[in-house]
Amino acid sequence: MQMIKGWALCLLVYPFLACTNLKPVQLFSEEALKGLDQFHELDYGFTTSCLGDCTFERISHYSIERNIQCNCSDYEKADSLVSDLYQTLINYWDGLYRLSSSELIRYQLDMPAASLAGAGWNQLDPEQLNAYQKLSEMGINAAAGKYRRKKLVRYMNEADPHISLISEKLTFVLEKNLLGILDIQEESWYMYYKTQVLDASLNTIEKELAAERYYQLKDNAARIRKKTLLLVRILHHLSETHHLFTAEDMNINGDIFKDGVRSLANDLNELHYALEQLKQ
Amino acid sequence: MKERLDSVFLSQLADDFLEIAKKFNDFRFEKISQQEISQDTFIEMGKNARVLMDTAREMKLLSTLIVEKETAAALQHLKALNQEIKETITSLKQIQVAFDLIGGLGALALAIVEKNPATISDKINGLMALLKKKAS
Repeated sequence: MQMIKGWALCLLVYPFLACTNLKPVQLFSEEALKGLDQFHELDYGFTTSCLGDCTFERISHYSIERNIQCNCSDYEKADSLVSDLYQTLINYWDGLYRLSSSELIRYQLDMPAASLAGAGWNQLDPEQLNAYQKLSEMGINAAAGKYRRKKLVRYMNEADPHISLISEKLTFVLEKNLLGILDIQEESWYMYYKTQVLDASLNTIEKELAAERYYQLKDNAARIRKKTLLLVRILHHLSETHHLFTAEDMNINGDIFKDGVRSLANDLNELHYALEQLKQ
Repeated sequence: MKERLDSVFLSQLADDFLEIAKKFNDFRFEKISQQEISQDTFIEMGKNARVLMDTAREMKLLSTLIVEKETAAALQHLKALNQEIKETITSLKQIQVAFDLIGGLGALALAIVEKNPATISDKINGLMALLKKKAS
């Protein structure tokens, strides 16, 4: 009789277990976190550009000061905004990752079972009690898994329009404004070094040094530009994939989701590789 | 002219300013090379180009700092959702705490039934340690 009850419980629990695999969401958020982590590789920001310009201005006027004063407070505000947008995205993906992680919760009933066994109030032998404990744990974990899946789907659906808007603002700021400021900086270098090269009072070696310095700065700017654009592509990709999943009345265990995550991982790997190349 | 100065419009305007400054610079470098303008005119034109570029810079910065209503609302909503996710994770973790406490209380009850003071004290200590551990 006990055995039949056990099997019945198994059959009852199995369908729960079959549909509570949250691995695809975990992989998706893991890829997203890896992609967003590349943000730390971007060694250029609004404040950096302001300080760079401020120093360059002193250099071009041959001005040496003991304590250089640069007013970059508005540029710091811009960096704070970028950081706020970025951190909100990170927190979202991190939350999804932790909620979908199988490591988050694996409920164990060791303590209640032990006290039940110690009390001797049940009619079960230790082996049967252990079997029931394990089955109950499976049932609880499966129910919790189903609950988590429901929550994840709701969170992703609710977050989607916000993810799109925040990513849009962030990519706009990086691509158009931060790189726009870099363009302006490059024009400043052009103006200064071109004037130096045309200056009749400088000899050829001095002119050559000016040209060399200009091309060094250009080279560095090109590297910053490439990195920023790769990051922008990562942000676009994540936002689009997130939208695709939520728009498709998402089944997180369905093939569309799994294929989508696989394809995202491949695309992001290419972008990571391109970023690695830039580091060398 | 656009009625509302939004971030995209300002950014595009800044790009236009930079383009004008670049053309202005090309022109003055060409003219000074051909000695068609004086050094003073060349410097004066350079200052004008600089003004255009500084304005473009300010516009790019302003465009960044303008956060449209929709984006600000999206940021607030996502932050609230992130908090909700965090709370869900905490509640899920607390279920295990509840199971452990049930077990601990059961063991304490058993010790009380058995009227064994040493075991009661052990179980209470165990329960306190559990509470302390879980609370941290």
